[in-house]
Amino acid sequence: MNDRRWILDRVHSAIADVDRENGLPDLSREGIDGGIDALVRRFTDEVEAVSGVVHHVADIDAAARELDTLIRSNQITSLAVSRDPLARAISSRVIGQHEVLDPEDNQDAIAEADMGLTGARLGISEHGTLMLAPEDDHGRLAALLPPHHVAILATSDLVGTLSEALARLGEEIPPTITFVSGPSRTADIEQTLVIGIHGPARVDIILVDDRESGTT
Amino acid sequence: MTYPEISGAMADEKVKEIDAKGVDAVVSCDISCLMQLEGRLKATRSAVKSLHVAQLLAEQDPES
Amino acid sequence: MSSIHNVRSRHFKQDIRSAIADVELRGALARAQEQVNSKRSKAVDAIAGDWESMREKARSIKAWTLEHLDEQLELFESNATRNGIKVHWAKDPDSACSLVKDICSQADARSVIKSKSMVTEEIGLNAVLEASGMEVVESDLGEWIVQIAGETPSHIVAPAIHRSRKSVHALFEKTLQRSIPDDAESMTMVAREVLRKAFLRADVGITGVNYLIAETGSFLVLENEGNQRLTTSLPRVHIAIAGLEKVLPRLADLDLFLRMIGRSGTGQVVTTYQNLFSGPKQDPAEDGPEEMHMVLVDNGRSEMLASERRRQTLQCIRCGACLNICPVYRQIGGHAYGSVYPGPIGSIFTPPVAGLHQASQLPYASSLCGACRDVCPVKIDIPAVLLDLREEIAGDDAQKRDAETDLKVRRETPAFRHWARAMHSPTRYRIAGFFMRCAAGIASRTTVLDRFIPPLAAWRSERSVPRPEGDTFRNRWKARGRQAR
Repeated sequence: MNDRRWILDRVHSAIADVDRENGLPDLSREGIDGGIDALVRRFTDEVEAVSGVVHHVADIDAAARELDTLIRSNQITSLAVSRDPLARAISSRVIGQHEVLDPEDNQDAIAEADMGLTGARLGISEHGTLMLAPEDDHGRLAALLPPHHVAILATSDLVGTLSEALARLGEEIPPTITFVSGPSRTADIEQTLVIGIHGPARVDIILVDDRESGTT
Repeated sequence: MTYPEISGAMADEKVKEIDAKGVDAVVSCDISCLMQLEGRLKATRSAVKSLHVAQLLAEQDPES
Repeated sequence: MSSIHNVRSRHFKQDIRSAIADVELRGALARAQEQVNSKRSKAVDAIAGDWESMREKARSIKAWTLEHLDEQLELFESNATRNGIKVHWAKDPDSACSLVKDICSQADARSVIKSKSMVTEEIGLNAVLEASGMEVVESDLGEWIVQIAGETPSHIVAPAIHRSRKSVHALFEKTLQRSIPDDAESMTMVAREVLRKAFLRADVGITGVNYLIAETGSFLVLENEGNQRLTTSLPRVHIAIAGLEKVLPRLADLDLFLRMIGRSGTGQVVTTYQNLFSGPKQDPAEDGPEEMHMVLVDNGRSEMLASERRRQTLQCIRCGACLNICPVYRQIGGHAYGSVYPGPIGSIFTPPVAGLHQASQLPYASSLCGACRDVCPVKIDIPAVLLDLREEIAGDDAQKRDAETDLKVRRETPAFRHWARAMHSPTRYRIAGFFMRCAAGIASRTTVLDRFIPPLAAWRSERSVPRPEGDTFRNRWKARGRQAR
């Protein structure tokens, strides 16, 4: 009673003599023309189209000011920060009254945080998507449990399409990749759109320009 | 279709739409659809006529 | 209904009648269809001329994969195993459920959290886990609604599409024993709070699968709510369950399929979350599952694969576009079909899996209008498969149909046999046409013929028989040809 053998034998004989397609189609397509500026513009528009916000800033200091504003205006009392070096650098420049939680803290505490701050592996302009690889920065829970997620992304990590993003991965595929396009949503009650069911209800992306300084 | 309840409900919705559009006639190339629509249109005392595409063409044909 | 093998087809006529009598249900379905279809058209039109070539590419990738399914599955298995995923094979629901139950028992699971998965409905997993004492909580909002209502999903993408906001509100207040505001947002937030606790106590998380990637041994699952991210982040063990047909050969194929499935299913450009899993966590200090299991389920798929005409059924990516466009689904909703998979795709998937006898009425619940074929992102010719199924159901072997269908077949087969004979030669057609005109002439004036031909009465209750007038089309066409010369 080996199901594996049983299934594979049946699959094999089912298709032993079929006429086959002539190979797999080529899926290569145009990316987004116009360099970083075009990528930033498209990314910003697409994130907004799915109810997220992009804050494009010139450097780390400006990023820290932006984070400070987000913390103050949303009355954040506890912030869970991943180990992403850029996110750490930025959050350490913000002096506020809020408590700072670490990935080491237990998940109940992170679940109670008002905001999570993480890095992101890449941004995909075409659909306003963040590509999170939680093991990069131990940011799995910080990006997921609190109702407000702030991601730090460098402009040099923007690509046009999913194909380009997957190509950048090369052979090394992290155990979990989550592609995030905007806040959590549902329409399961009479097709009424409600934002923020299980995942974060707000997604802010601080896009740090690293063209001049090479800070990242 | 085998289930007159379903096809009847489908036709009722179609007839409602057709009536709401304020047209003179509804044209189809499927006899079965037409007979069903005509039945429903008559039942609702609609003034909309139902025509097969051949009937429509024959009416336009100068040679017949 | 515990699994796809318990089709309620025997009650089909009765279920249709009660669905059609349910004005509230039909109103809800019509509104839902219109909303999602207009979003879908907008999203598809936005990529203009590309859509048709994308459909053709998607079809050909899926067809190629099915034609190489044995190698592709073995490739997936070896790559996934190398990634640390434990791959299991299950030929039927019993085998799949006991595999999952054993994994849960070994993990000492008391509480299991699930994100939306049609294949777990297909194999009837929840009942099996509950019977062995585990708590099973559905975490997708729509799935949770139908779970606490003791119902089954009525749509493969929007499980609670048949329920009004008011009825969900009453259900929530009754289940949670507290007063809740009746707007969708407040109710959703209450669900968030209740389900968050279930996530935090769960030992095992169970998900379905959208795509298995053979080349890398990864798998991808789509969602909008974030419940699946929680299901795969908080519990110690992640079990994913997939039908055999879910394979894509290349990681890069995702670029095409992810641009299509959101547009096709809900009219979204892409779904909010797309989770790509390539193994359990590598660093013990990380969050995320320590164990990752993949259960590959056959349950009739290898048999479908062997049929040239039905094989395309396995191209399905479960977007639900065929349900959303279907005029029959619009009138009766998902539950009346009596199968885990309702609508056009359900009517071609269910009979071969559950057995033709069990589901012989489903292929007839279609007007063959072809709207499903036209919207299908992977170009499944659903009407052609429906006809193929009808051909086998109406064939010589009466075991392949239930009593209701048998009656219909006995009544109609002689009539269609005569019809086929008449259509065979121009002379016969002309003679048959003459008699048909006479019959129509009588039938349009009186109902006397109905007494001799019982199906005519039923048929006529819905239709108006035209009165033949003037000369026949053939004669006029001939006369016209002579004049032109």
